[in-house]
Amino acid sequence: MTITFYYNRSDNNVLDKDIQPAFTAPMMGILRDESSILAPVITVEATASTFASVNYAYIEDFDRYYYIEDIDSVRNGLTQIAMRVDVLMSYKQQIRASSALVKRNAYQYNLMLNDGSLAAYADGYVLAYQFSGGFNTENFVLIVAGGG
Amino acid sequence: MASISYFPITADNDIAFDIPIMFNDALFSAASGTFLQISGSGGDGTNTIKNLCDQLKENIPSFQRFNMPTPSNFQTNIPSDNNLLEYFLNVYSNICKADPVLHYISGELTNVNGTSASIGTLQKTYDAYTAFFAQPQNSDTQTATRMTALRFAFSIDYLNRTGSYARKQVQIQIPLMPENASSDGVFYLDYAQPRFVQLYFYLYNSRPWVLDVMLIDGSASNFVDFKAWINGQQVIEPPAPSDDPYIGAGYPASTAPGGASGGSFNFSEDGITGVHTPGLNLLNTGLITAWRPSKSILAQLAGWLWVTTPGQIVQQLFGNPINAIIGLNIVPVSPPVDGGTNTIKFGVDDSGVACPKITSQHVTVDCGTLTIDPKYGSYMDFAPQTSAELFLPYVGGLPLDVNDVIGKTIGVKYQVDVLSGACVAYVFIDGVLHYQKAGGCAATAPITGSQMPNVVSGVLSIVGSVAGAVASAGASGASTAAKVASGIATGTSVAESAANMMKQSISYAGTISGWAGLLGAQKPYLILSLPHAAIPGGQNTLMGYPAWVSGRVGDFTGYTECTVDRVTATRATDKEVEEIKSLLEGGVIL
Repeated sequence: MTITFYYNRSDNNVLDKDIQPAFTAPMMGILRDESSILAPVITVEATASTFASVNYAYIEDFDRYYYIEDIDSVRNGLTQIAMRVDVLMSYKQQIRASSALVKRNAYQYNLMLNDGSLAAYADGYVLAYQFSGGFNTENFVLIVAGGG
Repeated sequence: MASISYFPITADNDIAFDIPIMFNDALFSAASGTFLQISGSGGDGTNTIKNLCDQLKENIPSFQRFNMPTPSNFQTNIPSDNNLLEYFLNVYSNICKADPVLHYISGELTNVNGTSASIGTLQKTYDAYTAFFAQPQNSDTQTATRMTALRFAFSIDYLNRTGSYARKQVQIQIPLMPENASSDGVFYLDYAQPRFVQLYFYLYNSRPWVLDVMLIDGSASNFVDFKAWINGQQVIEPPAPSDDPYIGAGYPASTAPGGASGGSFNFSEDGITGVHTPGLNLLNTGLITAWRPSKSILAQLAGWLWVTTPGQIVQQLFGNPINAIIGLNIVPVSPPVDGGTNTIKFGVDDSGVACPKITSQHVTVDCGTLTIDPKYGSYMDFAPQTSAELFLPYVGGLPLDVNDVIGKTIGVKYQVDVLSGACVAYVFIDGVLHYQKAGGCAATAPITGSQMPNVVSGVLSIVGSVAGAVASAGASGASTAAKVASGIATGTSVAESAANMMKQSISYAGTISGWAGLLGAQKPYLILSLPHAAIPGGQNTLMGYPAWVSGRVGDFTGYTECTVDRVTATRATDKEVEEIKSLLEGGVIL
């Protein structure tokens, strides 16, 4: 099967990975027996040092992108590469098209929603604001019975 | 009349097919086997499709959620190599919440009149299953395009009770046979009015079957280019869940940042804006008179009240004017007065002391307003992070709802009764009365009053003493007589004795109250307790801020946490779908 190896600069939680091809052309590999397409183990005819700067791959037959989790040198000139599917990159178009209830976002948000994500120091502010008017005079009031 | 009917085709396996497919009630009419009656059609049948679409829109609420592309757009975007394309049937499947397991549908749309065979393959777009209905295009002669019905068939693959996959087929036939069709009884497509025909199928399993994933890949065929355009046109939204208590109750779905509010609740306030002044006034009734004396006037009055001559004492023994004093208060307001030419009278006794007379019992004090702007512009400005309490002179503390403080203008007014000293503080929020609290603002001065029984007994005692003194003087000789004579001649010692005895009977008519208010702050003030927020730079990009809006995932960028009801990735396994959901819940960077 045809495998394109990449160098992935993005974190795993990035949907659209920033990847650069590691080699000028895809390589051929053989899927190990009883290997899952979600976590395939591919044997490639190359030395392990060939993959020193490789951490990502695309397997055309599976139409999926994979993280490279481990690279084992089986013997000279034969390397076994364990992968794990990157569902975000593999299905990024479908994910983008999915309807969602977005609970948190970096740019579209409403800070009036109290989700407890804002922290506060223990020393809060206690402020006093005085009104401009009030009781600014004093007078005697003498109340007597009868007419004045 | 054209109608749409459905019927299951004989199953191709031996598992009893109990029609686990239930269509949305909105699609059904009362007639058995018919889920939507399409009535009316063009006279020649050429507008039947158009009418069908229109009536679908009228009868199926969710149908209206789609934007119909204009014919010009439709035509423009038809790929050149697909000039046979005229219509497509877009079938949207939605799995009810009771059975969240994915279903996969495949099928094809067939013209059943035999003039053309398969006219398209169901293509699964993002959320919808789209079938293209191709007809030989001949815009010059419509007679070349004739058909009697559209038949839409699809199958559902599921895992049956025995653990094996089974396939069920369902077929929907849409007769296009208007009663007033042309003489040959066929339907003619209206090339001038190409329309989408979209049907929604709500599929759910009425039994606790385990429906598992059976991947059926649709081929892209030669519509792949057009599919991209369709995907760009469609805004796929799952229908609003019927059990959402807010939907249908006037609360629109939140679709934009900042949310939305609505409903039929009446937000228009009654707008209580003023303070209340009682209509009745005790003053000027002839029973009570209130004066606003100055300190010097009070001193003059005291000089008149506290007499020292025997004649005045005797005169006031049975009509002491001090008993006519109801109260002497110090109030923190300036009651309105007249010109000050009247003299203070105690009952019938005129003191001769001129004093301004109070003309109104009630005085309004406007303390002004205070506007508090938000500090953070976030929920940190509100409870429970922020609290507010208003101190009202002569009333005390009044906790305020922070919603009445932040971003609002607070106004305080008092209504004071100068007779009793009672006062009510009115707190207005943006000019509307929200709070009121009563207090007392009169400091009652202690006024001495004489208790008549004691006064009388004191007079009798004085008389007895004087008589005794006279008798004693007669008996004891000239010196004593001279003392008495001297005493009688001056009268002062007896009078002083009487006055002293009367002082012993004096009691305080008033009590000291309200003085603390005079010692306190005389202007209202607001105590605002704000949190000291810790706001690290770039928090939004690292973990986002609360959004709580709906939309397509692709509408958002940057850090995003969201919940999706399903991810319609045809190739994804169930495990992959669950991982996608989990990652989206935990936060991804788009």
